Amino acid sequence: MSTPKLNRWTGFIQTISAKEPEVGMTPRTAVWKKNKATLWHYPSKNKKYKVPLFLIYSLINQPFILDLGPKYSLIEAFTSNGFEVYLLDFGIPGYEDKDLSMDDYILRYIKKGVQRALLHSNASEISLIGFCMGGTFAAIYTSIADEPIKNLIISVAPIDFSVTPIFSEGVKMLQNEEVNFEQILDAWGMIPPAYVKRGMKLATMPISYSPYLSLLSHADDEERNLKWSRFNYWADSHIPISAAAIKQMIVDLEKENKLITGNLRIGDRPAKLKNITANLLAVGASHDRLISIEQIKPIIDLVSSKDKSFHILEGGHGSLAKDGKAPGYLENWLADRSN
Amino acid sequence: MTTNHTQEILNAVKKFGMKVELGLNNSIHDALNQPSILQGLNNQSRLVAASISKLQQTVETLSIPFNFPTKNDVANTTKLFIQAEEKLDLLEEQVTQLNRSFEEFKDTIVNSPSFSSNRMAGE
Repeated sequence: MSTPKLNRWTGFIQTISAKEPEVGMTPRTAVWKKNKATLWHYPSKNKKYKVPLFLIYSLINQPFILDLGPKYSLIEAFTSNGFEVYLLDFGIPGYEDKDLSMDDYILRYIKKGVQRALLHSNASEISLIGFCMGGTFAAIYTSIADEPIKNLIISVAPIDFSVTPIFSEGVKMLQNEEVNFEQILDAWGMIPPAYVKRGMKLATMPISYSPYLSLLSHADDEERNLKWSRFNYWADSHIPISAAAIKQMIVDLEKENKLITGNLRIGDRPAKLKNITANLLAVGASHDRLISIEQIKPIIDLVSSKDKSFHILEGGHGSLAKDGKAPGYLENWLADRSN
Repeated sequence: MTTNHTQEILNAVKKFGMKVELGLNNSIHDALNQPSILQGLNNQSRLVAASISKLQQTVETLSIPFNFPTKNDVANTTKLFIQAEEKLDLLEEQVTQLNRSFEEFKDTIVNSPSFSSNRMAGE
């Protein structure tokens, strides 16, 4: 039998040198595909609720954070609790997708995906859950949706871009048009995943060794090591993003804050938050270094929903997605509004 | 006892390490969040963008006499596939709608009183 010390170091070395771990193991079937996007259906063995869930993840990371593995999967938690789940996976875009704008993501993918999920589930209403920019897109889509959106949950999704927790000077200069990165974005067309990763690191933690200290502190626990390696794999799995989408987000959201001013248009329709009447739950995280609570909270005052609430989650940016369980407040909120 | 002691040391190292990491990251953010640095980055990005664009134009020009496809050619071909896929998608939606309408129409006819009485008369 090896000593605990040896176990710890062996566990540490084994974990950091391991191959890519298996992720996304909850049973699912593809119900619709378009370009690189796939609409996945996760059936529930004990369906309890009529209103299915439609999950939208961010554009810069892969959505398998929502299904890291058995016992660490938010999707698995939802299906076990009796929800039918649909996940819109945008896939990994290629150079040919460099002209995909925010309008395209909302009208050609989210809207169509919701229509397909409604058709497949035979449900008369649907709940949207959006994470990070996926939450911002979910809110924008709900404001122009003809589809019956019963509930809208946005998790760590920025709405008010006048508040900037990081690089405040840079954002000010961008808003005053003292700096402009359009030229470099146009030249690249697609921003490669390595640059997306560096950009995100720069914005959050340019120096990041604490995950390894964290691993070392529990390296003798195989299960925690597996969870660590799955999460670390996700944290390194950035995907390319189209310059067109970034440019539209910079101009419409960051520079002109159109979601707050009510001037945003998607396609030929005004996307005003006051058009939203769905039940709304907005979630912010107490230690989120990327999206502050002040960036999320204004949505509560701007929507027309009668049933609306704001919840602060203990943890960081990825807490809700990575913890692999539906927290009590979320489960109860959904359960009360899904029949 | 030793295991507990090791764990305590590691937890302390982790806590201290995270504090140092936070301090370093805040310093980097503060150092970079200066108008002069951001203006420099912006100027640099313009130069890089101009070079990339020139290089891309040269490759596009060279692709004609040397007869090789560029990334733009491949992207344009793929876009045609995506357009075709969207048309098929639309057709699929219309067929589904037609199917649904047909089923509803069938149900209406079968459940109508005139249909039931005609059927009984026929029997």
